[in-house]
Amino acid sequence: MKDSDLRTELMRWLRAEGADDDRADQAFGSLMAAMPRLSPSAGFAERVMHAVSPASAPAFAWGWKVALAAALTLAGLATALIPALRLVPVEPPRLATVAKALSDATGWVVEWIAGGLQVWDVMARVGQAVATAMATPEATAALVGSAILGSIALYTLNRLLTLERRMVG
Amino acid sequence: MGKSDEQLVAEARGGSQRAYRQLVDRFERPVYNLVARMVRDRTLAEDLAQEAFVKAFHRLETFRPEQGKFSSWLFKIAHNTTIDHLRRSRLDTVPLDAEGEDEPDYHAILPDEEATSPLDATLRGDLGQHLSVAIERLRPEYREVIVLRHQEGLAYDEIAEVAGLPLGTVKTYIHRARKELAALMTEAGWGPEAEAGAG
Repeated sequence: MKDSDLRTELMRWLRAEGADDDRADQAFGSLMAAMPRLSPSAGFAERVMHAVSPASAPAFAWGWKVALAAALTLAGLATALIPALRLVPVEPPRLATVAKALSDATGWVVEWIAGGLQVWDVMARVGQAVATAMATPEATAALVGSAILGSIALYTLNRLLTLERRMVG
Repeated sequence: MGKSDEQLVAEARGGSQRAYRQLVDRFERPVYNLVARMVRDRTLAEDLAQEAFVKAFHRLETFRPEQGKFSSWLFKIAHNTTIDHLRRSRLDTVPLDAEGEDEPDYHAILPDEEATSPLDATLRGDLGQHLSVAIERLRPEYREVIVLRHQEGLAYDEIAEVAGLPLGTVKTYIHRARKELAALMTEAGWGPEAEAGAG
């Protein structure tokens, strides 16, 4: 509506209002209809939608919790099943044997390379010493023990974090 | 032809954020306009309008199409959100012995209508701007009913539902608001006498 039309509407309303005319309401309505509404800043709708989006966040959090719990359970089961492997009729390759074969192979490769590079000779001897140490039953037990301890630590950490989140929430 | 509000609500209830986005696009301006007229602070109005839309989203299940239009339901949430906020801000600053009245007192809750608001500063110049400034000077409850009636086109009974007022009070407020606005505009030099003098 042009400013002149707005003036006409205003005068019509003010005259009706001054005369207590029933048409004042209608005239005022026409005037107000020409008034611009106040508008929010750009991006308001995006902000609203962003604010309502976290409603679906608990579902994701729940999914993550289930995945983590499943992974920890599988890790625990796998660790628990290691002793049962001793009961399997087909004897699996012993860890010490595998480690020894690996160390022999490493030694062979290192010796081969050492023919041309003296520095690799020293490295090969170090590697050989470490591999030999790893091949002992004590070292194997220590490795398995570390894996079990790691699983327990992960599980405990998960429980602690869940408790802390509940306390904060 | 676009979908009706009720169709979009049904889709949004079914989990469609796209449908709710359409409702936000449709009502962001009316809701913001109402809240901004009530609080006379654009930044605060945006926060409150957003809060109202978020509340509405989480309460979509409680909307009953047979009990009224979606727009009225949404305006009521915006009204309550604004009044709650203003009541809380007042509690932060008013001594305890000033409380305890049963009747809702908009004068005590809403901002001082005599003070110059941030909106006043930006709305000056031509006739439309003068009218806006005059509306800003009305009592807060008058501002609300005027906007709902003459800018959003709500019926008297819908306004009564939104503002939580008796029907008779709504009619009285609108009548008095018009009278006060007419007086303010005449006082500002926009009356028929000024027109006749200029001619």
